[in-house]
Amino acid sequence: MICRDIENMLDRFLDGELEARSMRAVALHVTRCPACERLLQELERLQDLVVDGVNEAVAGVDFTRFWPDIAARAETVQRSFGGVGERLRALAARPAVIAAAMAAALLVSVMGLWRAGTTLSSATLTPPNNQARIDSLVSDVPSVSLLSEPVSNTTVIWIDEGGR
Amino acid sequence: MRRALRRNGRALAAVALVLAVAGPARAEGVTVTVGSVLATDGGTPEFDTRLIAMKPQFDSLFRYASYRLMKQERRGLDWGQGASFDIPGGRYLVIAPKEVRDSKVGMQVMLLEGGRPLIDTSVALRDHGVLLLGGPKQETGVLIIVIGADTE
Repeated sequence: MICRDIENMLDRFLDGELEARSMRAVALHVTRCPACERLLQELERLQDLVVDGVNEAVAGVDFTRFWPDIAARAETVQRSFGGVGERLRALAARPAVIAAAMAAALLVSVMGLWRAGTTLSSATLTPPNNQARIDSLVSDVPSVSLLSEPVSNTTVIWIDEGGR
Repeated sequence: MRRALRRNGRALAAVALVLAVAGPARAEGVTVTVGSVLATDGGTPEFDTRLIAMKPQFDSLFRYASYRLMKQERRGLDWGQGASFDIPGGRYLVIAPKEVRDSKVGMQVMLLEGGRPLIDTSVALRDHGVLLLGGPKQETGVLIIVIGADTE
């Protein structure tokens, strides 16, 4: 990719909207091209200014005035559910529906207990297993180590930058 | 008889519907959390309370006196979508989740600093687990970057 391609993608790079391959290509290019790196830094500054400006403007808005409008809308929504309630009550009068609902409630409860049990045992009896698999690793620094913490198997990639 | 069958069919359909709703959610994407921790020696030992869940790992792996969470960012990403996270010291962490297989989240992780890639790695990280990426010098200590992935 040439600088012009990269320039066209920098906005989407900053917004995290690029697909993975392009994201890597832009990131790599920027680290090796001072002109594009400068452009990226300028865009970042611009983005920070916009974010600061928006935050400042939002901080000055009095949101308490919005509440009466929201309350009125909420009331309208509540009324529109009236018909559904009546239909549900009519359904609930049928024995088959009651039996199905009870069976379903029982199953959901059992599933809930089973899930809660799983979480509890993994949290209290066994430490979390964080072991990661490293499929490939490339680095520009003089020394890179891979460590594993013995209890939770947490994997660590450690960079030794030497004289820095 | 036919009526009873129809009634039972409806009941079973209702149970199936509830089970479908209560079942585990399909992994549509992944939530990636990146925390930048400053580990330093000297001075009064301090441990940032926001990192308390990581204390056993830190104590077991490192011998620094203090740990402070400088920055934390969480983003929901689609598979194949990359994201760039700002890391203290003018560094970038580019993360591109690829897939989830056998409860492991495959992702490309790149740590970039100035004009060079410090790390470019392809890892499969346990779902809900963390990977630590440490060593870059920062202020008077080193950075430990905590990368977490959650599919639900």
